[in-house]
Amino acid sequence: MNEIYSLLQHDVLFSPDEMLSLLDTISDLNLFESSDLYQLLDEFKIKASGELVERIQTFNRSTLNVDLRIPDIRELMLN
Amino acid sequence: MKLRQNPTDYDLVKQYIDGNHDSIDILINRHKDRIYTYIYLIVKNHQLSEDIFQDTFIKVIRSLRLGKYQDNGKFLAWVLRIAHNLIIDHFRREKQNNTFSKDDYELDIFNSNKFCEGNCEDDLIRDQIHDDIRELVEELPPDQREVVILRHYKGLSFKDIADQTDVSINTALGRMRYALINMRKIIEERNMSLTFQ
Repeated sequence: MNEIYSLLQHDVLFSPDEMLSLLDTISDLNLFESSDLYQLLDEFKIKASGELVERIQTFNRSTLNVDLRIPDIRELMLN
Repeated sequence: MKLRQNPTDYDLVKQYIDGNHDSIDILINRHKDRIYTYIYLIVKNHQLSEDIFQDTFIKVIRSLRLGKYQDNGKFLAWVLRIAHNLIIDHFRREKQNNTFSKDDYELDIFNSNKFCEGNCEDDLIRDQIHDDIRELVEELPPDQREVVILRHYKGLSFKDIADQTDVSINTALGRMRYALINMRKIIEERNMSLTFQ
């Protein structure tokens, strides 16, 4: 969990390289099942907007007959 | 299909896979705040958090429909990992676009890749790829071209694109989808290579 606490201060402490390194460490730690993490998220709770949730629900319903295997546009390196 | 009063994540995922497309709504509502909080605590920007949150659930929906999710009773952990990977993708792009900046939200033109020492050949290839892509975009029908430019050159969210072009979000998403299909078709027809090593 120390890595998560460190991330919370990243705007002051970390360069993008350090951020990536820390995020990679977290990937390897299997923190996503941790009750400590869930407790921390509940403590800091920031609500997702209703509009955002509605957009996803609309996406779900409106793409029921759509082939979702089409790859993302990022593959085309537009950025 | 009737939903049980307090279905578990496992029940809901199973129901979704079995064709009850409304069961995902309960899953989203159950976990949305924890997932949004995780993303926001790391990226510290609401617009970006919304984009990553949206991309996360698009991936979730896509994976469930394609049968790529093996349920082991850890739905939230799985979604958090998807969000986490998308956050990593974001910081990788940030790093590529602005190599030396320590500030994720303000672009310093003197910190741009343009000013880094590089191989001239790489620069030429990169420029050529960008030119090719620009040409592809120019060939798209106007409504599709507009969405691609607003999304990928101006960085607008689909919500902002929808507002700006006076269409629904679904229409904007649909135009992006057709733009992709058309661009991929042209790439295949012309046997173009857009890979930069």
